[in-house]
Amino acid sequence: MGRRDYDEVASAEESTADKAMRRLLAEYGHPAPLVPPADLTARVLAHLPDQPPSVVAATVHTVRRRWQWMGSLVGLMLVSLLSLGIWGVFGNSSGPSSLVGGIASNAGEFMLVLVLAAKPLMHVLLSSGMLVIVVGMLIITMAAWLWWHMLQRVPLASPASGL
Amino acid sequence: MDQQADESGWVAQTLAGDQSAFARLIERYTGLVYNQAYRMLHNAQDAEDAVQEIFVKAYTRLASFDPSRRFVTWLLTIASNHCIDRLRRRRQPWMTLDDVAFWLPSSHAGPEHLALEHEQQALVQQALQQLPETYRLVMILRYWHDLAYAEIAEISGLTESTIKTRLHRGRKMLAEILAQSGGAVWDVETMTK
Repeated sequence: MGRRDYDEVASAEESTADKAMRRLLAEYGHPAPLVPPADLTARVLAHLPDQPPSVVAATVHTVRRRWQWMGSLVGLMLVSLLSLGIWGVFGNSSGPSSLVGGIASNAGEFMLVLVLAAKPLMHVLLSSGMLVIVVGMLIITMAAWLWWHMLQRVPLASPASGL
Repeated sequence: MDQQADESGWVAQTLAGDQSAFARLIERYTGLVYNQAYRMLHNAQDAEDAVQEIFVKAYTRLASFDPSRRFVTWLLTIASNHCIDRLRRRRQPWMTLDDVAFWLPSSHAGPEHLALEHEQQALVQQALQQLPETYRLVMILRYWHDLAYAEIAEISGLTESTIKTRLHRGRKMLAEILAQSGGAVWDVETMTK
């Protein structure tokens, strides 16, 4: 693979630094090509899908679309449940159960039980537990922020640290 | 027929369902991709796994290859993104067991020892790991794969001026780390001894 210097407009300093870096690396015996394991090519070949690329790509696309649909469906279900819960807890207690046959049906009775169980809990949280909610949310947010910065965004090694 | 025409032909044959044509591309570039993966990941097993995954990705996305581009540039784009994803998935920013094992006597020597058996070469490989991954990537593409700025820009998705800045800082960092490890002291400002 040849370096195509003709398309580069390198300054004299860059060019000098570039050559000096190559000399420095040469002192350490680099760039030295590593020899891959002898059976690696065979393993890569064995790992390839049997179908042509277009078929594999179509399969991957279908699977990805299916996951997107499932994600949307789960999200919609969660939003629906949340809406029903809010309606039941803050509005009409028997409202959600009326959608599934009223309190006379098993499903309706189940819904009513859920709403009635959630109602006192929500009232406790919203009256005396507001501070708990705020502090809890704050702790969760801080933990998420710390997690992101400590585990995700920190470079794998500090450039300042030595060997 | 030149190399680019050869490769474009093999890509077309693969897309038409001839898997043996893709085998030729694998045979040609396994070494290159392995070198890229090992320099980036610094772990022989990870590099081997990465090579397999990179070629499967390339195979799956082959229809998106533009024959006017060099196949190697396209392949190295996939390889670079894959290695950076893999590095980011490694959640521990501290030393891994593999890093520790590097300093211990081992009956299972890594490729660095097997192929090179040269302490100084291993020092550079260690020093490379001290660079942030984005700097490491451009340094490897420039000094190990000998690519032009334009090609590095194409592979990394960065501008040429960003590449030059990262190379400048990468050179300084690498020279400093090598000097700290007892190597030759280089003036990192002008990169001269």
